[in-house]
Amino acid sequence: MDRIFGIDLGTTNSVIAHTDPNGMTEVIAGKEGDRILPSVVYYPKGDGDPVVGKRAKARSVIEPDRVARLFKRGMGERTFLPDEQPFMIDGKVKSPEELSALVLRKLAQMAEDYYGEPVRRAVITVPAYFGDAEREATKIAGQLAGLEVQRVVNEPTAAAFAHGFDRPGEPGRILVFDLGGGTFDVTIMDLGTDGSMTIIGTGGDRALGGMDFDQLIVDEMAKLASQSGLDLTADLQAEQDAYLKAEELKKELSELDSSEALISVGGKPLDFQLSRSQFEGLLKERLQAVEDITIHTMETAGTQAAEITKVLMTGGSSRIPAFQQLLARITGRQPTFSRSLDEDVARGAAILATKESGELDPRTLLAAIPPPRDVLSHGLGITAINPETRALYNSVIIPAQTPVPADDYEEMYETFEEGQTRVDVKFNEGDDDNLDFVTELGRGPADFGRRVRQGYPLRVVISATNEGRLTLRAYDGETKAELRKIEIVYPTILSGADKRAAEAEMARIRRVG
Amino acid sequence: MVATQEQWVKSSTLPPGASYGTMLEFFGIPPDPDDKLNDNINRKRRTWYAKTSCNNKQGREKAKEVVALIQRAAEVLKRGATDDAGGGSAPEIPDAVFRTLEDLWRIISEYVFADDYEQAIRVAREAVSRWGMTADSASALAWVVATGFDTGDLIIPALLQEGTQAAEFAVRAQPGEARNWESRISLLLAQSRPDDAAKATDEAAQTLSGGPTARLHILRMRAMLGLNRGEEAMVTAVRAVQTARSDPDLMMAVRSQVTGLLVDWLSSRLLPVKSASGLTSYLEMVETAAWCSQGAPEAEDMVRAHRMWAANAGKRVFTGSWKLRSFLAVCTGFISLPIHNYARSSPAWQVFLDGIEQQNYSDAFVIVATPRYVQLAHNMNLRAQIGGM
Repeated sequence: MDRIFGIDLGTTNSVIAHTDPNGMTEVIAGKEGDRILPSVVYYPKGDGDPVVGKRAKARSVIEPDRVARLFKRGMGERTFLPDEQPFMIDGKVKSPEELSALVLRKLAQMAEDYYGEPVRRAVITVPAYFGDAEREATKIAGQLAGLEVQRVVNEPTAAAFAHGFDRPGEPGRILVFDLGGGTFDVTIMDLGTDGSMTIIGTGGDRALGGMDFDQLIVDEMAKLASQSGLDLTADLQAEQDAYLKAEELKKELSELDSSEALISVGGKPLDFQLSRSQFEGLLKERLQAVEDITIHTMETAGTQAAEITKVLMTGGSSRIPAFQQLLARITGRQPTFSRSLDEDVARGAAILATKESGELDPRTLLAAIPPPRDVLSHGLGITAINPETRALYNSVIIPAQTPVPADDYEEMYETFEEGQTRVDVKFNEGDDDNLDFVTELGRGPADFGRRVRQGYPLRVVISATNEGRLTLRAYDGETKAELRKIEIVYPTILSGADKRAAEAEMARIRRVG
Repeated sequence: MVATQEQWVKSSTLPPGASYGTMLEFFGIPPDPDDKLNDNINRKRRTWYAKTSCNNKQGREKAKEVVALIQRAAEVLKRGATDDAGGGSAPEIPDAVFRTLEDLWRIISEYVFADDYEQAIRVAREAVSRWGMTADSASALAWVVATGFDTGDLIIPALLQEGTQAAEFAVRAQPGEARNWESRISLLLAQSRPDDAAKATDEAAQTLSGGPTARLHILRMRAMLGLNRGEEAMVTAVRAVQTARSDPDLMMAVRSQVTGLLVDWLSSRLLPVKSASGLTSYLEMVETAAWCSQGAPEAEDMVRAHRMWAANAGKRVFTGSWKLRSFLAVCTGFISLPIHNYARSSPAWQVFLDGIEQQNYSDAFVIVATPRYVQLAHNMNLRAQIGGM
């Protein structure tokens, strides 16, 4: 049978790993020896195949208009660019799914080169707070890359799995703090004595990560340039170069008290210096945001700091000492670091992939640990009317973090007015009772076929399957007749003709550079 | 499912020009007691921050706006300042909210230190409007206006009138408060009434149990200078420095201020030296200014050029004919030399006063009449000149 791989499809970097039947996990390096692939895509002018990774990142200095990055932030949406404009190359729109597919294809190529056999199956990780549309988009990206996506796994779960599998039987409540290049994710989960993991709370910020910290440094560089009468933002190449330098500086400041870089704006060299304390000053708002999210996640999970037995930090930006200190202050515990901050998510995904495929040697320690269950990342419910305030609100029927499959969660409702003949059922995804903060998945009338009295019962049942299929059924509360069925098959942005065009485009690509 | 979360956590708007009470209610005060304000701010911010990652794009944008609003409102309640970098479509909020006298002084001080007198006056007026013309509100208003006129940031006569009335009220209501006297005297000086200012400083000295403050001494000094009573100004300057002796930071500031006042005055009133008695006055004041400036580098810089000139201004410079002097010296066996030297020389100040037009000038003449430091010492805008060097 084909090998199955674990892929961390990150906002800024991606990694592919494989676990053999004996439980040995290997992170796969490309031909250049790099095990971490920047999630950056460059489209050369002319007929050349797209380039992914370090070369593409370097190209961003020379041809920034032809380089795409941070596209994971737009997964499941039309665009990833902050100005809401689509990313276009030579008049063709490139969706986040297509760009992600190129990264996946490149990772698959790395594994094919290494093992000398085709790569067909994978488990891909996503942030825990990704909604179903985003997860579906990730699967489509995998399909476009020619992969059979066996499962989409939460990144913190994978990180915890990679970190904890050598210590089975140690129960507790762990907080996984995943601060990557483009996203921040915090997850609280219970670890059972059998090694099982149950997520009890997740939170995060889809636009907070290392790239934002780079931006803060670049802003300071722009200020330095403006003191010399130069405009960094007007010089596209200088700006891109500043981003690369800022990233280096940021990394150095995790080890050193101060660092410096030479930047060139308008042909004039400028010596930019930054101390760690200055950098931490720049991070002030981000630290506050991380603190808010972490504490709020703990509150919504009903967890006190004293109940957390282990704090696991993962993601490259966890190297920044200020975040380590913050987490220690919030939880009262010194955080543990995953073995390899940049690789553990992929390692965990690889372990899970091999385990789920049934290829693990049953004598291995890993085989004894139950796989994590999929959970709903967001609650599911319907729009209802509060009889006291007469205001519409989202009535949650299946709360977030409920393990799937979740069969037949139900709630009884009553008609609001005398003589109603039907109810408009609106099926929502989200945990907030405020409708502004949830997504309507679908809607349809539940027709009683007659006038009913005020307070007439309506039973609503929602189910979610492992495959992500969501079903809502509305029943007459007295006759038990089914009045409406709404089934959600995720409407992805990339569908129909667009998807076929993307598939044709992927087929045309001989090899990702 | 009915909401269980308190309504204040969910509220996402503040009306434009929201009152102080409305802002507190935005953070659940009441029903919660005042000391819960910080906790409630954190709770509300965290709740809304979490919504910025909800799965509805419009919802995320709205949540970001509300988080920004919460941060601005919290900033106002905690520090009484605004974040001008804010913006967006979030409703505006009043930026000067105070609850106690301590809050009021903190807020107006921040505005004054930021040179934002418009805001400082607005807040002080709000105190008058909220509390009526009390000793506290009048004192705050008078202080803001007096400081603004002192620094030259305020020039509107109507404000001067308003500040003076407030200062007089504050002095009457709290005569034992030195700050009120300082504001009043400062405003009298701003109205070019040094006579009244001098009388008021005397009155303050008799009223204040701890005696005049360093600032009151400085104000008296300004009054004396305004009345052209240089001797008394110098005495008061020395007293100001001595009064500030217990506080090193204050002393540095006082040294700098009194030196500046003395240097400005002697530059404009005593230079160029036109007589021997004028020279004596100049030397005396330079000596006093030099003493006052000790230890304050910027003050020492102010007085340095004057010290150099004072050291030379009284010395005699030969202005006669060098040839004639040599000829007479040889003829008289050098007996005439000291007599001739004295007869044909002048004090340096006189040489400078007579100017470069003099025919038989010598090197010494050039030295005392042309160097830049002498020119600087004579320039009324001395500090500006030095700053521009």
